[in-house]
Amino acid sequence: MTVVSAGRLVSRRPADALFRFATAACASIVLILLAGMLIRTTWAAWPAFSHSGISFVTSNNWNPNLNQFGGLSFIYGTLLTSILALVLAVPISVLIALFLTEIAPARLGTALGYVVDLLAAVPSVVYGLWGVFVLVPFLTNYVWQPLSSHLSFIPFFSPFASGRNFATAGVILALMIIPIISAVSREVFRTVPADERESALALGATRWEMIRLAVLPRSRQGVLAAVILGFGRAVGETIAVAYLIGGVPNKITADLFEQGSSIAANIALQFNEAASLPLFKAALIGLGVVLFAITLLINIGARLIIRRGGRGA
Amino acid sequence: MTFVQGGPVSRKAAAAVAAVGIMLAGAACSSSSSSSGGSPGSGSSTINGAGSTFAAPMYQQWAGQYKAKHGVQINYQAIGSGGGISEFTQGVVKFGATDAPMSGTEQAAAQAGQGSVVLHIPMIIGAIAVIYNEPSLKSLKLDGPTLASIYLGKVKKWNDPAIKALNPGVSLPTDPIQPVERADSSGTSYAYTSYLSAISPSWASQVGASKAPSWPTGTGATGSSGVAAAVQQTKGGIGYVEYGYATQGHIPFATLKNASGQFVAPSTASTNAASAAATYPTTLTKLTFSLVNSSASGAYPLVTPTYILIAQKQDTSTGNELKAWMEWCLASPQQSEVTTLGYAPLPPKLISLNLAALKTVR
Repeated sequence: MTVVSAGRLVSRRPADALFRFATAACASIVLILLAGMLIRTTWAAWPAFSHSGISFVTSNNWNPNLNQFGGLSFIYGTLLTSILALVLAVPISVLIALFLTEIAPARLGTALGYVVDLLAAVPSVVYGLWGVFVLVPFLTNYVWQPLSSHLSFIPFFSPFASGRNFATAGVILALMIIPIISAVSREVFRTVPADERESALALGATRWEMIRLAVLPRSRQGVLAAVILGFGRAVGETIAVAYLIGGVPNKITADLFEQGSSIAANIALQFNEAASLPLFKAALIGLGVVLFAITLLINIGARLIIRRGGRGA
Repeated sequence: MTFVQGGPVSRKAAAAVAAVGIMLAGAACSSSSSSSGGSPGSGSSTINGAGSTFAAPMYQQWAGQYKAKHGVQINYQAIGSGGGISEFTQGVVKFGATDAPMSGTEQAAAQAGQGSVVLHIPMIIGAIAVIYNEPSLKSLKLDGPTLASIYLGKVKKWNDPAIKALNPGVSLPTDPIQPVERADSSGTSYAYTSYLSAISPSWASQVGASKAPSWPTGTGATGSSGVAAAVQQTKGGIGYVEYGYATQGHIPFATLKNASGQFVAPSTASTNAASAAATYPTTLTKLTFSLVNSSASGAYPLVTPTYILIAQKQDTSTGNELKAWMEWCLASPQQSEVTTLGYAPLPPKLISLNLAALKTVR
């Protein structure tokens, strides 16, 4: 939070002091909430952490019936599907944002912008159901099976088993983060000063050259931050992934057509079973802490990049 | 979503990015906790229950009829047996519904949560169909050991000798078998794995009977309808769902070899054959029993009861209303109605045990 420097001049007035106190108090609620959540969940997860030790995140053996809690496969599934989502979503999102800000006529750009924002508001369970009944059969019949039968020599595309797999989960995540990455990128592109675009055009640049010379270099940091935010969203996504990833623990493989599970999906799928088993419950909360840590790292990364970018610009 | 509009260079962009970041951090946190569906405040004439998807169609139908007759609203959420036990233990719902009897630890937790002895009252008996997706196979015969081998990942193709031996004269496809199972905690899984454990020693030692077993192979789907959809979408798929889901979805299902060597399809008659021959417990506080792998003639081997969990000690009038509804469900007009949805009624001796157990609820 940056304190506006003018505030210091007028801070003697009681109304201003009150206002300042109110804003500061509200801002600190966020911090207290965050710290409280982290402490409470870590505390609740402690039995599992002390039971499994470091193997909680390094072992690939999750078997609650035998009190074995090694969550590496969930971390792997989370990162694999999220990275896959980025690979698919980033180029599309950046092109959408460029079209909206640079190519489309202003009115069309605004209208399409609303539609993109609307996509971001579709609840994840709707994506999940749509995924089960529309996306899975479509991808299975028209994409995954042809890929698998023609490109099975590539290790990523093994002989095909089921439409619920890492690849499908990656696609649904891509669809869910495209609105976020493109909306943020759009705002970033808009901040490029008009005179820079105009100077590029005045020097005889084509529209593509103007984008390449004036818009993209200025926006690199902002777009990168947008990408990391999309990544953060993908990492925490739960229900749609739970429906589509195949829900199988302990799978670590580069084969995108295999079934697996992610941290958030596994919590959702197993929470009901854990209600009366304290260690199992602690282990699931522990997975939540791991997810929290991953999300936190991603957000800190985004902040660092933005700060560095702010100085460079 | 609103974003900061326009403004000078990258600080605004940074602000927008940061704002979204905070929102996303919040979204990521909130999405990792499972939210239980809010139920309307329980007045004197509203009873909330949750659990088994296996029994859901019947309970919902009974709730509707009972509301029309007696004005008492029963809200039943089909969230799965594991969820039913969990919400009942936490006191979120007045009654839980589960196909799997509670384990010792679950029972202890539920009794601590409810502050009372908790009774299992069997309400309906139903069959689990083994559904498959292999268009060239008009009919399919399977037995327990083969089913266990399929789910252990040992029988991998439809033309495996084990399947051939059960289906003489049928030309079997060469497709790989794609087993589908419940990824969430499920009473149907419990009944299914109880059957596999009863019939296959290697299943019993490697996996065992559980609402949420560690499946050695296959694809996980959520809910009975999720399993049905996954099987229908996967050529070579095989799965297990409550019989009604198979008939309503027009999904082909296998006939299973029972303990007396007959191949039997799931039906009300073959479910009745299993329940009529069973011996029932007499301890009113735990009326739980297993019906899988019945040796009776004509009995389907994959049959399970489904229970309602109710606290013995009730301190509000809702308890009496819940008891009255359950007694109504156990009366003969309601029990004979269960066949319309593909279930089987309870045998008379079990109904009298149930009524005796419900008498202790006060």
